[in-house]
Amino acid sequence: MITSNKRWRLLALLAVFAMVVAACGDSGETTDTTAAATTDTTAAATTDTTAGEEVTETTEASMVGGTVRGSLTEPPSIDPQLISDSEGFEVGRLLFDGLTLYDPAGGAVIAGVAESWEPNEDNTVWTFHLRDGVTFSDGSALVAQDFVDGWNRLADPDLASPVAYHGSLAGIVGWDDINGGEVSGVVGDDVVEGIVALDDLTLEVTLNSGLAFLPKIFAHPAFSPVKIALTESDGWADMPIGNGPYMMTQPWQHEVSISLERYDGYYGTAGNPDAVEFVLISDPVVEYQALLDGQIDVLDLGDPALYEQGEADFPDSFTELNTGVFQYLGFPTQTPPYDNPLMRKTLVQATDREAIATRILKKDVANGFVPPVATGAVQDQCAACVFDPEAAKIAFDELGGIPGNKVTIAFNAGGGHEDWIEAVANDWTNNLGLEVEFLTLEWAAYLEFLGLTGGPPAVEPFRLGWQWDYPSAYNFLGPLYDSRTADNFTRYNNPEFDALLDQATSAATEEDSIPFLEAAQILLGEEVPVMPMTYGLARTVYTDAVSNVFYNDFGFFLWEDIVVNG
Amino acid sequence: MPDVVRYTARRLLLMIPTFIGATFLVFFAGFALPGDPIAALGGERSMSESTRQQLIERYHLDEPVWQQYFRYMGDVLQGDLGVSILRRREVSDIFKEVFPRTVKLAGLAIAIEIVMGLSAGVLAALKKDKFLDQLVLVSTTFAVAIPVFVLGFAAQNIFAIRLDIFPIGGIQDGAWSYVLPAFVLATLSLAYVARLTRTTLSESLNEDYVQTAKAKGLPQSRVVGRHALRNALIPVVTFIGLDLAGLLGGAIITETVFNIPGVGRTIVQAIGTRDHAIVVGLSIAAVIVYLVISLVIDLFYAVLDPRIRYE
Repeated sequence: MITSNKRWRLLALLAVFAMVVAACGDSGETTDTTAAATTDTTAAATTDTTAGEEVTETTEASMVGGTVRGSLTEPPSIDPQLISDSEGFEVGRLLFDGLTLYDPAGGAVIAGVAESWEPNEDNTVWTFHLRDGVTFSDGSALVAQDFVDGWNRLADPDLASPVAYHGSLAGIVGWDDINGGEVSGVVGDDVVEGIVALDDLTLEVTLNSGLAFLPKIFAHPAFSPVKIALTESDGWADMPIGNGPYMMTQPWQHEVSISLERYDGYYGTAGNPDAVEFVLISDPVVEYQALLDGQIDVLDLGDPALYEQGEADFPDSFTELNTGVFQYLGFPTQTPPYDNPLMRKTLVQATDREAIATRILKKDVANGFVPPVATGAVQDQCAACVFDPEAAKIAFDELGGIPGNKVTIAFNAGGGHEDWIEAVANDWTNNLGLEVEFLTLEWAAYLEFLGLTGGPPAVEPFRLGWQWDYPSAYNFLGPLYDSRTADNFTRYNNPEFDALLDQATSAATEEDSIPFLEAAQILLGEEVPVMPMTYGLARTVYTDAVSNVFYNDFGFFLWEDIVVNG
Repeated sequence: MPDVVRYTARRLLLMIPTFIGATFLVFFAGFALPGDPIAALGGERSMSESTRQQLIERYHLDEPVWQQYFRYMGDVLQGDLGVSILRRREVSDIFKEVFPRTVKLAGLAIAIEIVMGLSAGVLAALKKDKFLDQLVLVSTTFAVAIPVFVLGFAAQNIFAIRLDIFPIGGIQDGAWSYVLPAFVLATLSLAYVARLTRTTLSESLNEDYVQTAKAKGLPQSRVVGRHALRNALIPVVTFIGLDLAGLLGGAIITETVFNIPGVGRTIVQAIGTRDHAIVVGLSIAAVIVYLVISLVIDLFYAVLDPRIRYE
């Protein structure tokens, strides 16, 4: 997510709170801003708690209904094959159901449109059996061909989808030939060899090489089914028609709102709220104001500077939850002195990561390379991750230090990274005597610096984060450190590591792949191509207008389960 | 041909080079910024090289900048403002959505500015150095000193969250949505208008022709309204006109705080993602608006001051 210039607005907000309390509060009542705000919320909560208790005691039928309102930043697209950010994902998940769905409890996938599936003996040919009677919200019946059409559309170079790489990730036979092939001017005229509808309810997918956790990949909205004729209609981009628990009855009002209504023909468990409305807001502090006002009911506090405020204002609903995100400082492993693992180790060892994580980033420190919520994650197996400035200094001097005694750390401006990057720099200065400079770039320029635009890779240590596509350790290890993948921004290249990943992907079951994934993480702990900082930790709050609010480790609310208090 | 018509025609012709110069600057400034518009599409992960190439060809990003400029200006002359790379939407559609919002916000703010600013200024000038004058002086000092975002959040906390009179933000309550943001947006200029009016009016109240009018025994309302104020208003009208033209280019902070998706906010967001089509398209529209309004103001002077002739 791209946000900017939040800090000064937040300071202003805090200053304003002080002013408002001074102006509006009775002089004898309170002197403290937080206390004043809390008083208000508690007062409101007391009146409504009684109502809330009554709701839980009555029958289940009364839990259904109402409109739950949340906020999103305007997504680039809600077309399932074009969704490229977390905001679009949140909408797409409610509008479309894939073959599999992310388990709300986290870590796994559950049956979606496919009620069952089985691979051949080497996991290269997968057969998915679809439920009978699944319909799109326009009433038409869903058949296996709708998946074939949707996926061919994703692969079609004429769509030029930024998320077409998901098909390569899965390794579907013929995908790269089609996606990298000639542009014809028409979307939907290409056929990927490895995707075949055997009949209306059977889909067969053929892969270049075996992949035990393929069903996890197919839970992504990019693999949604579509009625291909509808995708060519004018209204599609603003009002796509899907097969999920909610549907659109009015087009997306750009930068204003996206309104969804429950789809009564949904094959699965019906959602609780009658409607889900997303108010589109571009700034985290403005979102928080909207929550205080009651314009929205639930909020993921995106800005660390809002955590304390949120906890003080909404003490009863404030919740913390681990999510599938990994934040790190990457080393350019092909550039001296960072090409030496021992040098990388001393830099990590000299950094008091725990203090930085807990005090500045307000999260637990990451002592591994994969968030614990992902299958196959290993923690505390990274010797270099233990803070030991004396040992680091000795090793640093033995290595002969760094020429010029000067290093540069790169980060993107406006993302709230200044403070912790500066703290890392202070540690390197105090513990190793290094002079540290900063390279601050705006987002689009930063991506270019990282080598995302086809240019040379980063040559200075850089900060970055990775959010999983599916809940497996492989999704953190493969893309970031496999020497053969494009997102390996550190250009880490270790044949031993690549071999372990190959063994993991060709394992018979996901369970069998875990020992290899664990070994790969232990190897990373020795080589530290990146310095782990934190894992994802979401802080959410909600008003007393709603209850039964749950957040998923994917980073979204389970909107369909929320109960709007009557 | 009457002078006014000839003057207007000449001004319109002069707009052509101004327009070309402004669009040229905006276009090349956009491309001079470091950063790749395609990269922002994939977020923190790379898209496949083939997808990258497809997008580069689709948006002609492989052509030299000058060639892109001429292609773009050719399209603009046919009413086509281009397509947003990130949003895959026609910029003219985006313009049709965002511009009316900015017009509403700016229009209301200007109205507030005129009514309140002028009244305060006139009162202060008439009661010079009395309590009312001091009050205007102190309150306008405050208005100038407080940053807009502080004022915006304060207004939200008082009038939306605590008193629940106005919506917190957004535009879903129709015209009512624009009232609170318009007041916040108007505050700074309102203070300037009040002070400017006070100064110019108190000066012209001392002029001989005003003294003469007074001596003739005309009622005060006529002396002030017809003789003094009319002359004093010329710099005020200039200020308000330029302010309106500026506000129509978008009020970034107010639009952000009150979640009004207007021209300013949209352009700033597009700069962040290097979505050149939006930046250039909306800026060109803003340039045209600015040029037209400054012409209207110049024509309006004649109404205020008959001595001004267009030759």
